[in-house]
Amino acid sequence: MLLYRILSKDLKRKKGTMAGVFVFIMLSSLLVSSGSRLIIELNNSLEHMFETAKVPHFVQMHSGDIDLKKLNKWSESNFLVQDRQIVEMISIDGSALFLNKGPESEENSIMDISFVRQNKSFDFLLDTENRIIELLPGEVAVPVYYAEQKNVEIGDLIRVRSEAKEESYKVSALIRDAQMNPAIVHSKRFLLNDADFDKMRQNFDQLEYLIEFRLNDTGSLDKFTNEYLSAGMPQQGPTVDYHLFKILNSLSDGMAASVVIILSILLMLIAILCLRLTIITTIEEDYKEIGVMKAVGMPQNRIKCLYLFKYNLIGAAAVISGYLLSHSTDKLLMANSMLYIGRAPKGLFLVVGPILSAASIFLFIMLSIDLMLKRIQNISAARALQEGDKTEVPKKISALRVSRSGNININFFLGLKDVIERFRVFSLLAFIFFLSAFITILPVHFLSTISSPDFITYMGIGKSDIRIDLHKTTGIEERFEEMINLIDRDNDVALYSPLVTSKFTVLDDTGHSESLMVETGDFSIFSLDYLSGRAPQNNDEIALSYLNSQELNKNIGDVLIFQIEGNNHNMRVCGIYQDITNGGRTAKASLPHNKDKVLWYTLCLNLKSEVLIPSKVHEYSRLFYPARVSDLDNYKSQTLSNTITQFRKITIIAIAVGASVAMLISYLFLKMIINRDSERVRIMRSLGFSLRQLKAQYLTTTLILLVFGIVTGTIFTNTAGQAFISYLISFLGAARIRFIINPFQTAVLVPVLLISTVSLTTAISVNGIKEYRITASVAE
Amino acid sequence: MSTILQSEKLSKYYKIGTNNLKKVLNEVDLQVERGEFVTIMGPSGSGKSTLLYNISGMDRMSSGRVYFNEKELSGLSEKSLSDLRLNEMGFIFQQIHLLKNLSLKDNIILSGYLSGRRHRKDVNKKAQFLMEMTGIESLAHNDITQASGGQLQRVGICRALINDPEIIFGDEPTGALDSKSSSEIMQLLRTINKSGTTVLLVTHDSKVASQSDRVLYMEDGQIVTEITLGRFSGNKKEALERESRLSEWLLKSDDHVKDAAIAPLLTESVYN
Ligand SMILES: Nc1ncnc2c1ncn2[C@@H]1O[C@H](COP(=O)(O)OP(=O)(O)O)[C@@H](O)[C@H]1O
Ligand SMILES: [Mg+2]
Repeated sequence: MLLYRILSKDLKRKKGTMAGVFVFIMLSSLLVSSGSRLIIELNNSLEHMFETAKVPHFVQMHSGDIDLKKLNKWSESNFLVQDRQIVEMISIDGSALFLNKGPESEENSIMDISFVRQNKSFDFLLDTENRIIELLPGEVAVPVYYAEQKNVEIGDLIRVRSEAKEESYKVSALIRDAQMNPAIVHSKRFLLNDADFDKMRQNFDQLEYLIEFRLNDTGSLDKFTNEYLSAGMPQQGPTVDYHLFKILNSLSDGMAASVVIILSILLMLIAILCLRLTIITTIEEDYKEIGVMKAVGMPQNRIKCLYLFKYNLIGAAAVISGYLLSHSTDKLLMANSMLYIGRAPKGLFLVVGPILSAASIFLFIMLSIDLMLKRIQNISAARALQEGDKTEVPKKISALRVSRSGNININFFLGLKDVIERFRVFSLLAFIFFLSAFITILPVHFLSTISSPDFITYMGIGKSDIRIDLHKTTGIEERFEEMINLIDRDNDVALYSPLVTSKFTVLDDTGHSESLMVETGDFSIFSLDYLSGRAPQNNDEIALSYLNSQELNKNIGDVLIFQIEGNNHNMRVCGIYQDITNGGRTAKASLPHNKDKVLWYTLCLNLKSEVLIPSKVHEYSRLFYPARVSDLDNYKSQTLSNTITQFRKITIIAIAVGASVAMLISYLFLKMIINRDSERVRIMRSLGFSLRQLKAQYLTTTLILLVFGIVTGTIFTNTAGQAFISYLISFLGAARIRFIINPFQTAVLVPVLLISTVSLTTAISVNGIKEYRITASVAE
Repeated sequence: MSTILQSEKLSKYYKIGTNNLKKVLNEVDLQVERGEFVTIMGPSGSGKSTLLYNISGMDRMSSGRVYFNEKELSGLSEKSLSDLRLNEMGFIFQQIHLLKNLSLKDNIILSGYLSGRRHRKDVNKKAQFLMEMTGIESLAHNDITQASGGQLQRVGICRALINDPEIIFGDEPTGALDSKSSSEIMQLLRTINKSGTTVLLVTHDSKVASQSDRVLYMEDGQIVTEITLGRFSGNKKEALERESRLSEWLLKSDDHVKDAAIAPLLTESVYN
C-alpha cells in the first residue's frame, strides 16, 4: 500500500540520517534535562547547606583589637540583629603548613590559611554529609578545596610548624565552608578540636576575627551594613555578606549549567536543520508519489499527517530517551557541586522541571516539522506526474563560464562555480560550518585567554616579575620598610613599586559613608590596562575597578568624596580597570595610605633580565618570611587553576561537539546533494571524469564553505563571542574581556582539525557517486 | 586496415532479485576496423545499448574480452577507463545528456579543458570551429533550455569531437529527431567519418543504417547476422538503392533469426 510504503520506505532507506536526527534530539533533550536539573539542584542544595550551616548574613573580617564593650552595646541596641558571634581565627603563614609528607610547605599558596574551632550558635563548618563536624583532640578537618587541589585525604597527617615546635594532626573530615568554599575565595578555614585550638593559639600570635551577624530579615542587609560601617564598628578587613556567599558558591556550576543549556539549544537547532534536509530530500524523492496521491484525491492534510506522524514519532522517542538517559549522566555534571555543596532532599520541582524543559524541546521540534511540511502543498499533481523532476536549473553567472576559467584546475573551478551558483542551497552547510567553527573557537579562545600570563590584567594587577604580599604581622610597617630597603639595595632588581592597601571612608551620592578598599602607591611603574582613562597621577585622582564604578555609579571625570582625617577631600575618577580579585571591588590612588586601616602591603618588582625568577622567589620567601612571595604567573594560575581545569574539559567537549556536528551535517547534506546531482554525475562520468576528479569537485565545494565558515566563525567569536563572554564575566569584575589568542591553536590546530574531519566526511559521503553510471539512466 | 575495436565472447549479466541472472549479452564477438562506419540494429531490448556501453568500457562486462587499440578493457582501472573515454572516445546519446549548469559552449569545451592535452586557447578555437561546422555558433552562451532538440544534438556531437577521438559511439543519436534534423546529423557523422574517425552507431532507423559501411543485427543478446553495404558516396540515387537493399535484408533477417545458430554462416556466404 502506498501509505505504508511511504512510512517505512525512508526509515529503511535513510537509516543513517534518521539515526543522526535521533541522536541530536536525544542529546539536546539529555542536556536540557541535565542542565535544568543542575540549576534546580544547585539552588536547593545551596539553600539546604546554608540552612544547615546557619550561614551568617553579615561578616566583617577584622585584624586588630576589638572594643568588645562598644561592639556588644551597639549590637544589642540594633533591632535588626538576631544573633551574633565573634570567631577567632589563628592566621598561619603558608610556610608553616605541610599538607603532605614531603618537605614542601604551602609557602607558595595564595590562600590565607587560618585555624578555627567549631562555632557554637551558627556558621557551622560541615562535613561532606552536611553534618556539623565534631573533632577529637589530635584531629583536624580540612577544606574541600585541599582535597580537590592537593589530594588531601581522610587519614592523612598534616603538620603545622611554629617557631617552638611542630604539631601533626590527623585529617578526619573534609570541610564544607559555606563562606569560603570556592577556590576564588582566598581564605580557607581549618578546623581543630577546642583544646588543640587553645594550644595552638599559644604558639601563634596572629589572631584575626570574623565579626558575624545573623539578621531577622536578610532583606535589611544593606541597611544593616550601612549602620554597622557608619557606627565606627571594627572594620580592618573586607566586609562580606550572604548574597556574595551565594554568588561565589554557585558561580562555577551556574556557569557550567548555562553552557550546557546553550549547548542543548544549539543541538536542537542542528537537529531541526537535519530534519529539514531529510524532509526536503524525502519530499523530492516522493515527489511523484505525492503527486499520485493528490491526483487520486487524497486530501492534502492526510498526506501531511502521514509525514508528520512519522517524524513526530521519532522526535518523541528521542526526547524521551534523552530525558531518561539524563538521569545517568547527572553525576558527571554535578560532581563538583556535590563535593562542595552536597545535595538537598529531592523536591517535586526537581522532577517536574527537567520534564518540562525536555517537553519544550519536543514541542519546538514538532512545530518546526509542521512548518517544513508546508512545501507538500506546493506540489501540483499535474506537474509532478508530467515532469517527475524537481531540481531547478541553477542561475549561471557569466564570470564563471568554463571558458573564462583561465588556467585554474577544472575540477577546482567546477567546485567553486557550484558553491557560488548554488549558494542558496549550500548556505545551510556554510551556516553549519560557521556554527561548528564558533562552537570550537569560542572556548579555545577563552581558554587561551584565561591561561595566558596576560590575563593578569583582568585581576587588577600590573605586570611584574614578582609580587610580594605582606599581611598583618606585628610591626608590619617596619617590616615593610625593611623590605623596601633590602630590595632597593638588591642589584638583581631592575624596578620595584611598593603598594599599600588600606580602607578609606567615602561618601556616596546620598551622603552615606561607605568604606572603600584602596591600593595606594605609584601606579605608573607597573602599569595595568585600563578599560577607560589612565592611572592616577596626583593626589586628587582615583582609579576604580569596574564593579566599584558600577556600584558607586561613578564614571571618568566624576567626583568621589573621601573623608580623610575628618575633612572632605574630592577625588576625581581618572580611570576604570578590570579586577576579578577581592570580589571585584578595588580602587587605586596616589594618596598616602590610611595608617589606621591598613589591610595589606604589596611590593611588585622586576628583575634584571639575567636573573632567574624562581630562585629569587625562593630567596625572598626565606628572607621576608612570613610575606608571601610569588611570581605573577604562579599567582594567577593558582587563583584560576580550578576554573582553568574545568574549562579545559568544556573546551575538549566543545571541540568534539563542533567536529561531530560538522561531520554529521556535511554527511547528510552531501548525501542529499549527490542524490540531486545524480544526472550531472552520470554525464560527467561518461565524458571521462574519473571518480577521484568528481570527488575533488565536491571536496572543493565543502572546503570553500568550510573556510568561509571558519573565517566568519572566527570573526564572530572575536566580536559577538567576546562580547558574550564579557557579559558572563562582567559580574565577576571584568567587563571587557579581550581574547588573548594563541595563533597556533586558532590558525593551525582548529582549522586543521575541522578541515581533516570535513574532508574525510566528504570523501565518505560522496563515495556513493560510484553507483551513478550513465548506463543506468539509459536502461530505464 | 587495422582493427580498432574487438570483442571476444563478451557477456553481460544482470542480477534479478537475489539469485536470478539475466543474460543481456551472450558471448558477443565483434570486430570494427579503423575508419569504419558501423551500425547496429535490432529489436528493442535486444541488448544494443548494453553492447555499446560494454565495448566502450563505460560499463563493466561480466565475462569475455574487449580490445580497444590493443588494450584489454577489463584489465584497466577506473581511472584509465576514464582517460580512455576522455581522450580516445566520443559519445552521443539519444537523450540530450548535457550539463544543465553549463552554457552550450561550456558543455563542449569542458572535456577539452579536463583532458589538458591541448592548450585551453586551442580548445576554444576547436570548439569555435566545431560549432561553425555544425551551425550552432550563435548559441554558444545559451542555456540548454534555449535550443531545439536538433541543436542540442549538434552540441552533443561537438562535445564528442572536442578531443579528436579515434572512435565515436552513438546510441540512437537521431532517435528523438525529425527526419530533416536526422539527415543533417547523419551528414555530419559521415563527414567526421571521412576524416578518419571510426563511427559505431546504434539505430532503429534503416535510413540511417543504410548510410553505413556495415550493419549488424542483434537479437537476444547476440549478433545474429550482418550485411556489408560498402562505402556510401552521398549520391541520392545510391542512397535509395542502399535503402531498399537494406530493407529487403531486414525482412529476410526475420527468417535468419528463426535459425539463429546458422545465421553467422549465412551472412558470410550470402553477402560477401
Ligand atoms: N541495469 C539493468 N538491470 C537489469 N536489466 C537491465 C539493465 N540494463 C538493461 N537491462 C535489460 O537488458 C536488456 C537490454 O537492454 P538494452 O541494452 O537497453 O536494449 P536495447 O538498447 O537493445 O533496447 C533489456 O531487457 C533491459 O531490460
Ligand atoms: Mg537502447
